[in-house]
This record gives sequence, C-alpha cells and structure tokens, in this order.
Amino acid sequence: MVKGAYKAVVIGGSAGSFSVVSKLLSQLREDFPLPVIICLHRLKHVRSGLVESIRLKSKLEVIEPNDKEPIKGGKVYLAPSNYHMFIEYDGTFSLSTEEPLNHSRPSIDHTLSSAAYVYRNKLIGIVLTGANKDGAKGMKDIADKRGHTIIQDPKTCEMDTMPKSVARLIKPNEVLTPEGIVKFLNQLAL
Amino acid sequence: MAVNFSISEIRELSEQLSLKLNLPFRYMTHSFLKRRLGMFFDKQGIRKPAQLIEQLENGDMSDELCYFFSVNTTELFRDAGFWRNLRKLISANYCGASFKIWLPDVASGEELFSLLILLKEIDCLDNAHILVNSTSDKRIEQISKGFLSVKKMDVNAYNYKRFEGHQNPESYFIDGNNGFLFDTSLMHNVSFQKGGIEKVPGEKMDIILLRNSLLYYIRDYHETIKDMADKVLVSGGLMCLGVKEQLPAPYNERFECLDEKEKIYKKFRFIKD
Repeated sequence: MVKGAYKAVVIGGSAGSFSVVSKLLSQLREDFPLPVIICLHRLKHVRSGLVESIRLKSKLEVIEPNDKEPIKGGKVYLAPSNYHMFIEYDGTFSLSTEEPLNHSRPSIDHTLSSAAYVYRNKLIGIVLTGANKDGAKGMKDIADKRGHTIIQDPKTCEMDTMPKSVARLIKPNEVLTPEGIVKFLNQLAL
Repeated sequence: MAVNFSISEIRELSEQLSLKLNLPFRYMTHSFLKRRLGMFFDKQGIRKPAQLIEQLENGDMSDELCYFFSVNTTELFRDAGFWRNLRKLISANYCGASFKIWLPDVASGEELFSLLILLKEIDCLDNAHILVNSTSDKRIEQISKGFLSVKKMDVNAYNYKRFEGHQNPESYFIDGNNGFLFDTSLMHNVSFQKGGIEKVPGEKMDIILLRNSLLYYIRDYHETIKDMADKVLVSGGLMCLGVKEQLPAPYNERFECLDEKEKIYKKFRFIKD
C-alpha cells in the first residue's frame, strides 16, 4: 500500500457495531494518520454515553463534532445523535436536521456519500454489522469514485443485513474480519 | 434519475437564486445545496438549472423552492433539556413584564409551538410578543393554522414528557383532516414576517431562538448572522443556538455562556447598548 494514498476513513455500522468499533479503535495505532469518521445508528434522544464509552477504548482522540468543525488527521469523529453528518469541500463537518434517511438520523448513506464526493479515490469506506440497508448506497458512491471499499465479513457479524446489502450493490474491494480491518488500517500508519 | 450538478453549476445556481429571491442561497454549504437542489429538481421534474430559473418567474414555484429549502425542526421539544432550562430562565427573569422573542428562521412550527406551550404552562403567554420569520408563504400559512405532521406525534409526546410538561400533550392539539392542528388560540401574540434570516426586526428583542438554523450555511456567514443577532438583542438578552452549534470568539467577549450543553448564551450588559 502506498503511504499517502488515502485521506480519510469512513465507517458505518448499526446493530452490534459498537463492540466492533471499540475493538478497532483499541487496536488502531496511536500514530494513525488519517481522520476516522464514524456514523453509527444510535438512540436519537440519548445525547451522551456513546462517545464516552468509545473514548474509554480508543487510543485516538474521539470527538462528536460541532457543526463546521474542521476535520483533522489522527482523530476519530462520531456522528452526533439526531443529526445527519456531512463532509464539506473545505474540510469541515456540516450537521443537519433534515428528514431521516433509511429511518435513520444520522444516516450512514448521507455521511458516506458526502465523503465519497469530497475525498473521491482517496477514501476508504467500511461497513460493519447492521440490521438494515443504510450504507449500501453510500458505499456504491465510494466505489463509483474509485475509493477503497471494505465490508465486515458477514460470518463475523451480529446482524449481516448491512454488509450483505453493500455486496448486492457492488463488489467490495475487501471482505474482512474485524481483526483483518485493524490490520489493513494499521498498515496505513507504517 | 437524479440530476448531477458540477461544482461550478451549484455555485452559479446559488448565485442566481440569491439574486432572484433575495435570500442567502450563495452562503449555503455546498453539500446542502447539492442535496436539496437534487431533490427539488427530482420532485419538480426539472432537468437543467436554466429551466429552474425560468420557472421561478412563477411566484408559486419561487415559494415552493423556499418552502423546500427551509428544513423542518423535526419534532416538538427537540432537546428537552434545552426547553427545561429555557423555562427556568424565563420564569426567573421575564414573566413579570412584557418581553419580546424572535425566531429568525422557522420552518415547520415545532420550535414555535414548543415555545408557546412552555409560556402557557408558566402563565407567561400574555407577556410574550413573538416575531417569527419564514421565507415561504406556504410555511407561514401552515404554521399559523397550527399544522403538525401526524407522523411525529409519538415522538412529540415522548419529548413533552421529558420536558416535564404539566398537561396531557394531546390537550394542545385537535385531530384535523390531514394531521394534527395546534391550538391556535395560543398564538394571539405571534406575528409573522415573510423573510429570511437576514430580515431583522425593527425593535430590540429579549430572546432570540436561532437553533439549528445556521447549520445549512458556511462558517463565514455564521458570523454575519451572529453579528446581526447581537445587534438586535437587548443587553442581558438570551441567544439560543442548537446543541451542536457554537458561539466562538469574538462573541465570548459579548456573551456569557449560561448553559454549555444546551447552548444558551446571555449577552453582557453594555452601557452603550
């Protein structure tokens, strides 16, 4: 893998993904250079708790961004509850209270598609375990821009609907176990 | 089939819309413009930007576009903690005399209806004079008639409970033909003005509710609007932003943060104000 080939990692997940994300972040190298942008389906009325729990395991700083917050390498960004999260050309986040997509706000499709539009082939998109199809369209957008697409191996998923929905739309570049995803990402820091 | 816009097409179109409708489309974020324009084109069966500009000669189409670009507040008592704290502040500081509240950009009415319920329950409704801006005649008509989507009533009731309201939430609504209708008798001190976020009131305001309205605009424009709101707000007045919005420097020299989590700010008292 060529160092500097990518500018960001974007991850989507739903049912069962909290433990996978915690594992990824606990094993990611401290000097991981890229921003890790995460959109998980979450309870919309519970504003605190999730980011704090993820922080406990992560070696990287975990932030629930405010609107128009700049995106920086080596930080983890988690979409806030009850807001969609988009990436802008100027390297900032925009939040939104627009209607739910796939019954979800935040919607994984929205975050992934906007990241695809901005980072194009410099983006790694990852979809983890989950019980609906949110994220599939976003991964297609990443694939269309020649970004690198990874799904969690459905055999290792608590709910495999989400990665399988991606696989129905595109042929992902990689199908990896959580351990495989960590290994893949850590190579980017070498 | 969704219309795909190039970056330059979006820039050009936003500029044309700003000039045509005298609204700040040019300051909207790229992602928002791309998404909303795409959805609007699909909905209206428009294929090219020039077609839209041509169709805006029709006043109904202009209003429809403005209606479509004003994003729903999403639910009554969104962020119940914010409304609980606002209730405390209004009870403690405002209820004895007349005061004015401005909502610079109201889309779907939930923010206004939440405020009216709050004021009613602290017996402060008659003291409050509320000015509401909206860019669309259709929105103003819907809000002034108390229209509320039937789909959201469960979440509204849940939020009301978290707000720790004093009534049965259903007592504020009647079941209309196409959804629920808010009790419009609570709106006797509400005035509507058609206009965008930049259309400032001619008088000073005691409280400004600017929650989640700036999300769709670029950062530089936030400062323009916050400067404008600062000028309209009386010394000691309250400015309320969305829970994921910020009031950064230089405003920390003009505002005290009363509630960091719920983003409630109080303007310092200045002699020259």
